[in-house]
Amino acid sequence: MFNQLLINGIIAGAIYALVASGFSLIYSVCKFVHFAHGAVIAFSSYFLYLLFSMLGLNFGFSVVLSIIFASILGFLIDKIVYKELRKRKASNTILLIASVALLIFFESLILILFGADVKTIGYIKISKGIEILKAIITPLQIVIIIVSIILLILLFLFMKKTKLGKAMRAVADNKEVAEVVGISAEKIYSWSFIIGSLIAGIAGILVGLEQNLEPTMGTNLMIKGFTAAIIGGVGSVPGSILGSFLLGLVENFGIWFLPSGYKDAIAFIILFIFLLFRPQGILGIKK
Amino acid sequence: MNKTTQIIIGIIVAIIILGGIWYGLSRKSTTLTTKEPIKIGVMLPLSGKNALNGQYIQQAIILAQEEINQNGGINGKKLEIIFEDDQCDPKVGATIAQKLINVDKVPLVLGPWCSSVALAVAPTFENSKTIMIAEVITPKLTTAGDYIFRVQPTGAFYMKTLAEEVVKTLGIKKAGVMYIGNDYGASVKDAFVKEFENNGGTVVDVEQYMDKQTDFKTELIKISQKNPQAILLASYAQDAGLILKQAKELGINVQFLGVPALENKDLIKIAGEAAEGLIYPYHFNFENPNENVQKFVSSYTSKFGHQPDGFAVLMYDGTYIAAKILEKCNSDTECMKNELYNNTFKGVTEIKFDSNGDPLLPINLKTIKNGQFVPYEK
Repeated sequence: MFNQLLINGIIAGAIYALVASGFSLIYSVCKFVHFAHGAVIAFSSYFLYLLFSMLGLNFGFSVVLSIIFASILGFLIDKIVYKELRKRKASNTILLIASVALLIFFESLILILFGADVKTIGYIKISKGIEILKAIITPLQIVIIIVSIILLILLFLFMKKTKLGKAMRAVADNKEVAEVVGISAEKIYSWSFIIGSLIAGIAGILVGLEQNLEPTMGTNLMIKGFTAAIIGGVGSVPGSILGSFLLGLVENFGIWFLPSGYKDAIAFIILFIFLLFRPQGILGIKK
Repeated sequence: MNKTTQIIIGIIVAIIILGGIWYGLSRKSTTLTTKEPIKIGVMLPLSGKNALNGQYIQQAIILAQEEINQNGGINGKKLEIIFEDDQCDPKVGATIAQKLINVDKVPLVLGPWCSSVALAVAPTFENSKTIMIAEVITPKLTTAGDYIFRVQPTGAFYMKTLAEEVVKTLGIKKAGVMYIGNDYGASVKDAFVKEFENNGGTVVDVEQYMDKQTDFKTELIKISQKNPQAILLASYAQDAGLILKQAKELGINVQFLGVPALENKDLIKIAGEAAEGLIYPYHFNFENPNENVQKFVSSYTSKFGHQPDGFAVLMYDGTYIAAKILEKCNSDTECMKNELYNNTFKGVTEIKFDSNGDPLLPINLKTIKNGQFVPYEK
């Protein structure tokens, strides 16, 4: 039974991690809360639905296109909305409000384009999962866990080893000094949106396959993804992924002992504990 | 702006005002020459998330209205219906209720469909002695007053049949419950637990989940540890679909029981084969060979291009009930109230109101077979 709870926690954590990592990447570089990240995830799910379920394209091809689409959408959001606001010297609070507005805008757009009823992609037939160490898990859930662990490693290497990653860290650390040494902050902002939204695209596809598509799915995913990112340390991408797994595990073990209605309460108590005693999160650096 | 433009605008405004007055007067005079129609109000969610449900019911009411008017109306007067959109919002509902009572002065209102709106407006209608025939499931409306009726049975009424049948015909003695954490879920759960235990069964575990939740794996594992023979889902179609899917993935093999709200295409869309064999109580069977049923289904389908749902059926009958009591009592609501309590109304279904204004409808079990909602056969 312990194994099954562990697996359930890891699956939940992996889904939170997919949401939190892209969000956290954008936050660490641009220093504002990009709530519309949830809308990018939802849009990529619906885009896959459009290509695969409605137009009947090849599944692999649809997946690749959806991820590219999400990436472009993120880039355009930054270019058309945030960049213009930054030009006008908008504060981070203004950007945050703009991101909430974008989230609502995109959700309404999905509602108009696709309707309010639930959509399913229906690529995977529902059947009993595989038994590993007395715990049951479906192949898709294994893929979700593996993808989120690979993302953790890749993002870590990307930030530490590549030139772009180093530039991102430089901008994240001190924008003015980075610009003095010749790094264009605007360019780095664009890149962080492209890469962050690419991860959102992957998240949208996996979540869309595991759950259903609803216009408000982005908001629901963001609530837990945001909580996980704060717990892990919102400026740190690996931290946000660790925070996600911690949250998933605590929720699932918690309701084993407490009544199951307390699931969300457990998540937010953890959040409060971190905000009070370790506001910088698991891997965040105290400033 | 020079003087000429001002004069021209002034003339245009004057013409529009005069035209409006003339139009208003002429409309009134034409209706006065024939007999004045009988007006009733309707409150439904016609926009927002629940718009589709509201639309089906509205269509059923329009169909009934047309049939009534074609057959000579009510004592030779036409039945006129004022449709109002309550958006499933109690605040909007309260304003509409005031308008229907004070401006339109209707003796009778059909709807609301949303429990929260019904609970908010029921005292207003009760105090003004206006008949309200709602279509909601919440048990709290039962005691709302003498002028408050409904065509849909309460959650408790459905659960009574379900619990009895499950114990007697399926021989299930141990059951678990999963319910959504709101007024609806909690009231259905309470009703089931009470009825199931009255029939000699034991409820081994009750698990609550929150609205918008999508992961039910640990809840399912927890409930299946207690070895229930059946699990009741007091849910909406979307959550129930995910629960059935995840139960199948986890290899949990028990009899699932449901509620009327699960007769919804979304359930089949989400759960697919995992929905097969679900048993739930329902107030209507579309395959019933009864002449009235088939006549309603075919005329509704040919008029609107899609099949009616179980809510549309009940409000279609509700409209006929309204016409029948209006025919007998004109606008005397005291008389209408007594008529409602003392008669059995035969339409597509057969509705008899109990002393609380709740309908005593025959409830039967249905199940899902090959992706279709069909009557359950032992």
